[in-house]
Amino acid sequence: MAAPSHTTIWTWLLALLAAGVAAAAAPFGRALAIGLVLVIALIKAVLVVRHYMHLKREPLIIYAIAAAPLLLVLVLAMALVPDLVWRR
Amino acid sequence: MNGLNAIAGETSGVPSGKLGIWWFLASETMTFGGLLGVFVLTRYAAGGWHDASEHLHVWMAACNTLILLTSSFTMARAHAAALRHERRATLHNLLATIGLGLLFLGIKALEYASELRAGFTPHSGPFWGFYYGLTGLHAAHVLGGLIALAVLAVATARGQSWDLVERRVESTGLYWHFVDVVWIFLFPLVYLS
Repeated sequence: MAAPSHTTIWTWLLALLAAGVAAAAAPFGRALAIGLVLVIALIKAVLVVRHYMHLKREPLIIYAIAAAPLLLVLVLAMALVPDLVWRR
Repeated sequence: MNGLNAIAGETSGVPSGKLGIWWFLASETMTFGGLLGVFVLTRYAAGGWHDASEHLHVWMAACNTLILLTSSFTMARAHAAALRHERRATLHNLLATIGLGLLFLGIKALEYASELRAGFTPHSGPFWGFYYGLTGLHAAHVLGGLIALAVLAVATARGQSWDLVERRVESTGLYWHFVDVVWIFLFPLVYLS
């Protein structure tokens, strides 16, 4: 299957932007709306990284370099939860 | 220097320049990821700061999102044109990316001016401190990207060799797309949550 063109990805990105803004304004509960908006943001980021940054064509070492800081940020956030969230 | 290039090429199978920019982006991910993580946790613990965030200009930020997404599109087209050795198309897409980046900063400046006129400064509360800190750091990265793009556009216009143009467009493009990805998360976390 041929890779989607840059224009196709751009069209998807704009559609997802519209969907995100609409979801934030929709009469859902706030938690659901925020969850939806963040999932849409994640899909947009994956589209840019995979297709515009060509991650899908890169070897494993580039995936490792890209993933390592994400794991470290997750660990950092978890380590901060007791100080920032539970201390109320 | 050639020795270093050879080592990076031989051990990983990836050109050293590309490896270097991905390492740089990894460190940038730690910078923005750490700040965003602290912002999200502090905001959650404080109950959301919804009263403060309602004063933001969501439509200006949505326009800026559209502009940055489009600039990633033109940057990707510049890279594709460079791989085809089409100098005019490469240059045009680089200039379009620069124009869109300048437009982003112009709208951001208008947004800041409007908020400051309304009395919302970085000292107006924790939300505003985070807002100016996060978006200001991002804007500084956009400015840095614009300078790199301008240097690249001049080199391309002056007929720099394709070998160099291809690699520089790819590296600068990776940085520019990363700045776009950061905004993709900043927009919902700051403006829509």
